[in-house]
Amino acid sequence: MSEIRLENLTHVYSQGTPFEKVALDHINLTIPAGQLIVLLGHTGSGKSTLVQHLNGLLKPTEGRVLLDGQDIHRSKQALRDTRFQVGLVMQYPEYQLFEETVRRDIGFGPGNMGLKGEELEEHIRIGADFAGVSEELFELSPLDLSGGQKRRVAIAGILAMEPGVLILDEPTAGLDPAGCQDILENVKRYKQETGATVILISHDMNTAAAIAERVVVVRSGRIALDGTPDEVFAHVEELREMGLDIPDSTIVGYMLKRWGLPIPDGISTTEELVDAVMAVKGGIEGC
Amino acid sequence: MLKDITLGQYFPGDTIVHRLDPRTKLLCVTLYIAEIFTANTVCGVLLSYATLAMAVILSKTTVKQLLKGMKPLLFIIILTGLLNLFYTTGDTLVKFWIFNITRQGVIRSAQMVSRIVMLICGSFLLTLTTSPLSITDGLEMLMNPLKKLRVPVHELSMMMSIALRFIPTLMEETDKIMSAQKARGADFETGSLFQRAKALLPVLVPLFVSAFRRADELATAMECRCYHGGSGRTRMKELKMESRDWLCILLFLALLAAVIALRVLGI
Repeated sequence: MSEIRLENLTHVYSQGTPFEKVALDHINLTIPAGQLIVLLGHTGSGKSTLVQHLNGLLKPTEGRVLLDGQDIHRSKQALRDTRFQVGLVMQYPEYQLFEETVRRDIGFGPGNMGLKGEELEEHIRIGADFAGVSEELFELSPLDLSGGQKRRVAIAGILAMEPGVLILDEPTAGLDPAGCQDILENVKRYKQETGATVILISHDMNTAAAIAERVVVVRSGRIALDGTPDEVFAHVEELREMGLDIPDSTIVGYMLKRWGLPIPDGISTTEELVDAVMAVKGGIEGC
Repeated sequence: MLKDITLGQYFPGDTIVHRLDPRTKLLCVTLYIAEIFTANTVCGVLLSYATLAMAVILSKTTVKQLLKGMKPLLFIIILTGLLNLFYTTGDTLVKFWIFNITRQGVIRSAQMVSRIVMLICGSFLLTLTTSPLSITDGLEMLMNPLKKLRVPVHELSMMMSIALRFIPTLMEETDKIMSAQKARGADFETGSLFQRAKALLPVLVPLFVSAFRRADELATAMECRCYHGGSGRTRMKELKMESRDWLCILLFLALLAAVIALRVLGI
């Protein structure tokens, strides 16, 4: 349970060279404890740069990152503690597996926290359980697993540290639909059972709309839209202009409205769409 | 950051030096190195410096960049200077404690330091204004005659191109894996040398795995496009020598001739 606050966060890559690029431009954002927030944005909009600031992997060029009100860069020790408190699953995390067995790989993070023996085993079991890694795989080499299993082992490695803030950078990229569903269910379960704050970067608008409590759209290093899924997806034209997809239900609702049906703005899930359509149908039958 | 350590500090630009054919630049650097090592008179050394200054100005390179390029070798430069200064016998100029500075020592030390500085700056200018890939292309073309001696020139240069091509990729990959392991609490900065070397294991294993995977994928991709070595292969970017290239080579030949003349005349 941790609150994250970004104050004037700015990041410039390769400052002072011809390759200079402003990746984040004075971002102010508060993420309250226990919120599930989805970050959207086109490739290169700065999403990944943004989340790498949250656990101190990148140091802001300007501005501050506050975890529970305290600057994470105040000391070396604080920075190290932040790494354990804010778990970051990077893009394609399966490429970071290195140990001889799945068990030892999942235990790398908790081991770095200083855990040993039974406590370490407990964390490994918890992480594996949340990520959906069955104990039969524990003694196998992570390199022999399938792509989906590797991904889950990598996520388990982060969850085993039981972070209060969980960040996932496109955790479902390159997985089949069932695998995607699985991973998102697991993330949701982790949030429900531990009350963690979850930040998810996603390209799949349908899942984003389905699980997000709040959606933040990043565009060229600035926050373009911020609100509940319904609020954000009400801006259909703006999102399209940014080259982003729009949830299927939103599109259907938007089209129906353009045809003159009284459908409200900002529909983001199938359920909402069905309700709205049923309401219209009821209205028509009523008269 | 790791990204800052790139092999060949190619700095894109659009000056006459950037536009020269890589073969011209390779030849000119070779001629220039010959010039530096032939120059043994004051005029000769000054002429070599002037040549360098001309190239620096034409390529719009800043002194800051040059100094940055020299930084890793600063120690060697200083050491060479000091050793030559103190260990050359001859007419004593200054004498204190166990040190004995001679006139010959001062001259020799200045000469040696000049040579190293010019050598570094000259070759640095080449890598600064020429992309690694065009350097390899240029080298392949220059070494073409060796094919008659059955030297696998094309294969060698292909290997070099691929190696150069993958340096940034592997750097980026290293960066990513290091970040991922740091996110899991890996600590690369503290501890003894042994501990730090051991801490690199979680980076090296995934890095090697991915390097092999990439090599495999690249080989497949190349075979899919019917790559079968150099014979009969055409290139998209044909290197073409233009009049400015010939002029440049002539200029450097003239400079070398001038320095040789100065050496013979002893001025």
